[in-house]
Amino acid sequence: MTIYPPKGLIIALITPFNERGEIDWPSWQNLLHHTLPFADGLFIGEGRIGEGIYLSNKLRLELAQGAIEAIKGQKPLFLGLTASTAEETMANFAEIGQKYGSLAEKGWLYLVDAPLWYHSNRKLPQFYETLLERTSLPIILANNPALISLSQKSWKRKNIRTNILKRLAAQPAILGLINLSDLKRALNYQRAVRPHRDFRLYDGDEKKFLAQPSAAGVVSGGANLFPGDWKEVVWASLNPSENPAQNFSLWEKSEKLKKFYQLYYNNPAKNLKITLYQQRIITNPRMFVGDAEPSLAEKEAIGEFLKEFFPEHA
Amino acid sequence: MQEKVLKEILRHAREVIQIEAEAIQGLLERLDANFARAVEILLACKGRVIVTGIGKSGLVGRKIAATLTSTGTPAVFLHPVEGLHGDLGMVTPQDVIIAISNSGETTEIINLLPALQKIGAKIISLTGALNSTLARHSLVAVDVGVEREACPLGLAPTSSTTATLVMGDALAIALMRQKKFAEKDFALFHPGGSLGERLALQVKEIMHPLADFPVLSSKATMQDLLQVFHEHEEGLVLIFNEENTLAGLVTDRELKRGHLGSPHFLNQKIADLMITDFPVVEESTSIGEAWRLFGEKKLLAMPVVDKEKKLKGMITLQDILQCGKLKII
Repeated sequence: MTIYPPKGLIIALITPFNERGEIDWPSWQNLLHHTLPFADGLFIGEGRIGEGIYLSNKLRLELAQGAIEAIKGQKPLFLGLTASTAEETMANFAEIGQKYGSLAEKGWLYLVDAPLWYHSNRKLPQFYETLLERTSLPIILANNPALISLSQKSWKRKNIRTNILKRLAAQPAILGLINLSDLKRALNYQRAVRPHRDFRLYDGDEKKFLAQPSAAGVVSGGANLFPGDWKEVVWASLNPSENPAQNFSLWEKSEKLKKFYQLYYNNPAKNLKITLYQQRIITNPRMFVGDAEPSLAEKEAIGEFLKEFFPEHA
Repeated sequence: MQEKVLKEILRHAREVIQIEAEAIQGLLERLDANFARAVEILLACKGRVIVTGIGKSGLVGRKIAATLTSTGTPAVFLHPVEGLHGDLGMVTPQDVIIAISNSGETTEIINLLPALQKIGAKIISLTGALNSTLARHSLVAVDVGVEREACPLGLAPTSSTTATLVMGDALAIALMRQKKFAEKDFALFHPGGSLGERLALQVKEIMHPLADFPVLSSKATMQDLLQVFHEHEEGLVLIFNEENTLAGLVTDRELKRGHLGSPHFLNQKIADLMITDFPVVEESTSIGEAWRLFGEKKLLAMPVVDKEKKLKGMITLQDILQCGKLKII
């Protein structure tokens, strides 16, 4: 029986690194401890927030396996395994599927793939037919035009075409999509997957979820810092209780989360890490690739934000 | 207003309309045998239909109850909180409950379930969560789930309440069709609506005075009758006897029948041709009731009398059709 991925708050964890450029597992555990109680699911190795696309494939698999072993089915796990080529991605899926196939049967494990990172829309359904012959694990697609625009590949399109999604959603092992494109495309996608009632269409853009929430939920980077507030906001969005006493508090939280989003969305991994470091949740803001040092303007904005919401640590 | 602000306002409005339109469109995919089962249960209902919900779902529930009532399925709204404070006494085992909750976990609705089940009323739920507590405790759950709300933070359910409202209309109309509920019944249930308003008028408000119609004595010849029909366009002649009381009516229809039925038409007596077995309507009778009589007696015109049975005027089928803007079904 297919177990669909959870609805609600999927927290896309950042990937902490130590000075040697290795995964900083103690910090990761600390972050897990901070977020796990509030998450409906955890996303490890997300393309931009979790730096999934920048990691070496060895490190990507180490992160995936380390997370599976650490979480032990406490919450459903979304694993970003997209590599730089179709072949490597397919090999990753096959390897994790072989080792952890039994976890999928319990609804503990879903593999996330942003296919346009390495493959164009052309013949994408055929590619997935081949891939699904090599793994038993269920798949969630990611449509992230901002991520694809960073790719070296010069595809004509940065979004999965609606018609292609329609065909992909017909595959029994493809159970959802994390979408970061605009509302128009989101509504087109809705139409395309409608015959598959339980197909999950997550909002990958937190700001869009905060305005017009998808019934499946949201993949959030901001929840690395504010998991409790995000949990409350997502719960209220998916289960309207019309409790006027709650409204003001929810509104305030939502405004705070939007403000935080404005701070980090241009460079999510870096700015999330800086705030998490300043809040002593991780011990090092180091990035896998690139400079961890924020610009002066970013530094000031983050400082102001933390002073406002965490005066005790400012 | 600044152009930029105007554009932003219109963009927001368009987004809401698009999201809600998609929610309604999505219901087409969600319609299944459960909907038909819900209609069957409602058709078989020997008691009343009781709709319940709270908050915006309650407001939608009130509208659904009103729509069901207007379309021939008597329904009332039960506030779930009032239900727990005594109003559940109105529920009988013959009743069908339509419970509305998008999450299917609304505390006030869930709290009603044990009592409703003990009473034995059948429960139909309209919910967006088919694995919810409400759905599991319903005889049938109709899926009104939506993919996206147009308002954040659950401050106001938007697409979900729109979808529920539409599904309620679908239930009411499907039921109406199954019951063969016709326009005339609709009018009877709508004294306040524009159609109902017209059909709730009294006969005296649209009847014609006697002077509008040609009159002949019962002793007049067939030639006289033809002459009168030729000179007047009303298509109706009133026949009075020697005591100056209305003895009969002749319409175009009797004239045609008489002419076609006898080669000696001109030698016939008017008394043989005219209708004498006609009902009369009181001037205070509603147009709706008069219409029913016209249908029942297959007449084209009827005399109108006052309470003392004194002849006051005439009403024709044409008058009613024009008044109600109706057509014969």
